[in-house]
Amino acid sequence: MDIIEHTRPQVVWLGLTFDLSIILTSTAAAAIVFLIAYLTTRNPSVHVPKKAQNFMEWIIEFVKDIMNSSMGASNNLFVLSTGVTLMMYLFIANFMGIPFSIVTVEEQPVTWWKSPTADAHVTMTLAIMIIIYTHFIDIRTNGLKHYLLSFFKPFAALFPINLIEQFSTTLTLGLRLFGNIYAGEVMLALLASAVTHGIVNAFLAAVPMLIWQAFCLFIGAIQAYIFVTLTMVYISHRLI
Amino acid sequence: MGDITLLGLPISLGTMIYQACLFTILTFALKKFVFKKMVGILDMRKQNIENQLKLTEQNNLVAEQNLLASETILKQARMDAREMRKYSENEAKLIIQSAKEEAKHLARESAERAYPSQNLSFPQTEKYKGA
Repeated sequence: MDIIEHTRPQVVWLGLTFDLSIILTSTAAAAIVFLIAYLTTRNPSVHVPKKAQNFMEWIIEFVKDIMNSSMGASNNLFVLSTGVTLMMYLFIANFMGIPFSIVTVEEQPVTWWKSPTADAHVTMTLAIMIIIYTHFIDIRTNGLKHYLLSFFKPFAALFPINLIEQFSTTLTLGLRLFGNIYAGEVMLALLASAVTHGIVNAFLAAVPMLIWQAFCLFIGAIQAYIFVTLTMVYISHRLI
Repeated sequence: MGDITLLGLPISLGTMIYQACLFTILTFALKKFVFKKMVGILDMRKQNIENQLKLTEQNNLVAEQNLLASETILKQARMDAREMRKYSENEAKLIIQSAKEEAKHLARESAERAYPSQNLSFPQTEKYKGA
């Protein structure tokens, strides 16, 4: 193991490159999501839910509404779980870089703590997983023949466009999220770097910094919602 | 630097594989430990509420029927009461009449009985008159 690049703390293991900062932040996000979901529903009650349980139920109902509005009434527990997990994971992950970011200054600065979704690896992985799942569910519910023929509909001449569509949806799904969060963090880093230009500049940057942080919270929430909605739409396209 | 380069962009496959594993594990863990339970609870609550609504509807029907029944009973009771009053009024009239007759009879009888004593007492009054 040796650090081979300094702006990203990357290591090579088993011939594969791992980004330690993303591994750290995404694991933290997953742990936070799991703890929130697990601790709020430790002693669930059917009749009188407590505040925490109500919160969790609200999230589940929220995603269920998104799911039902795109694919009709469905009791698919796996799709619901995916949706709720995505929503919570992206929500936490989008917010992780907003309050602070940790950069160690060596010969070249190394970013250790930021939003994991501000890296295209994370968002593209999620997007690819979701598009692969939509293909899988199409084959499972409608059969391989229907799946292969669906690329030639409505006309055989549209095959290249149908093929490109699959790539473009994957790309846009992943890069939309990445771009929004990344741009937000770049702006935050710029505003934060005003501290190095004297105390007057630091005070001048404080108010825009606060406003931009609030805007980043908004963008993070909206992007998590959009990602889940599009996931449900892509899955429901395949079920028809 | 990454494992592969796509259109000039370095891509580190290890990060992506780790991310995929992490998210899959998170999804299945949450599904197993949280969502199965919570969806069950939500369904149960829905069922409970539906059952209770149905029960309320039934209870409402029963209550309406009970109300109707009690209204008819009340009507019957009113009629009965009216009849009873009429009957008792009649009875009372009869009793009063008979009592009056009895009283008259008694009065006549006592008057007849008192006639001689009246004669006896008469001189007394005469006496006073005379005085």
